[in-house]
Amino acid sequence: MNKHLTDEQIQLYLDPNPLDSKEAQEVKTHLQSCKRCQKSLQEYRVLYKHFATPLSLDLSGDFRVKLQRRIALEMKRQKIRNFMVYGLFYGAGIAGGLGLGLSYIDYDAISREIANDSVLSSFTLVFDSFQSISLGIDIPWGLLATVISVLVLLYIFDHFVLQQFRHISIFK
Amino acid sequence: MRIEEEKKLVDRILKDDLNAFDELVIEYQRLVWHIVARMVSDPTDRQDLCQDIFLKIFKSLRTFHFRSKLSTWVGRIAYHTSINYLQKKKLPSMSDVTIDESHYRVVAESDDIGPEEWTARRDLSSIVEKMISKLTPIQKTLITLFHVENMSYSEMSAVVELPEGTIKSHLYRGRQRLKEMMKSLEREEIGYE
Repeated sequence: MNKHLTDEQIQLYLDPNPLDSKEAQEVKTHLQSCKRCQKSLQEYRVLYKHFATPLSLDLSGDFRVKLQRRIALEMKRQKIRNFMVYGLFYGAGIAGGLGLGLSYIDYDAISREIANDSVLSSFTLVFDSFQSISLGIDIPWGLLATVISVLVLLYIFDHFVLQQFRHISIFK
Repeated sequence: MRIEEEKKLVDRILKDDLNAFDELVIEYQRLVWHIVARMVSDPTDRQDLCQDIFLKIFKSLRTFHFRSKLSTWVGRIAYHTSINYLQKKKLPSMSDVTIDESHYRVVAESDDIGPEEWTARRDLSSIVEKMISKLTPIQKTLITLFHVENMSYSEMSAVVELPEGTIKSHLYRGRQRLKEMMKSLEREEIGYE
């Protein structure tokens, strides 16, 4: 190796294990006889020595106390947020389910049955009315109810299984 | 910290254990500080930024899936938050800033050296630090991560989200630039004499 070493070669020579042994040996041999490259190596050594000196940690004495306060506040905020999100979701699910269910009921028929004093048949009518209405209306209520149920189940799975045990979430 | 210990620690934090988060802060405050202190000069801003970084870590911990080391992930948040801070404030990243020498610890074997040598090293330390402040944010971050935190190229690549080849090139150019600055300083001093 007659040419002078490049800066990159010298840097790699000083870095931990980046040169293969043959190249490292070549660099070493060249350095033994070349004053200019020795000087360059020395300059890098000075810099490297400084680089490895850690900056002193200058965080204020109450840094962690302040941080803990902010974290505690954030925890509270998260709880409120979760409560509102879950509350909204579960509330919407329950309201949607109830609304959907109530919209299927044939109230006229039920009130007629109640007037006839046949409580048992009025119950049967509730279920009958679900069936008749779902068959007679264009809106795919069944599909809608399935989608809502799947979403609610997914959310419950997400909250109680994924987030608790895997720390991941489908919805976040 | 081993991966099993990291997992246990993260689990405890996710169960709202404040002490566990404090342990995380103790473990990684030096890494965060090294990244922040090299980029931001104002002491108050440094403190605030470190607070913001740890708060961000706390908020995002749920999304950490152990695909990388926790230190790498913490470093990534610290690096990007610092970069965003500089961009938002339109601040120079520490260049043209006077360095308070007392902020820098002098080499470890300072007990074995005399006062003259100590002063000389402190002066050199201060000069090198001023020169480092003139590098780009990525260069100074990489020099810190590689030389102080002893991170590998792949770990640094995960922190700054750049390919390993680019990392090597930034690191090489940063160090070369510092050597050139040192040489020109040397020439100036000789010229004055």
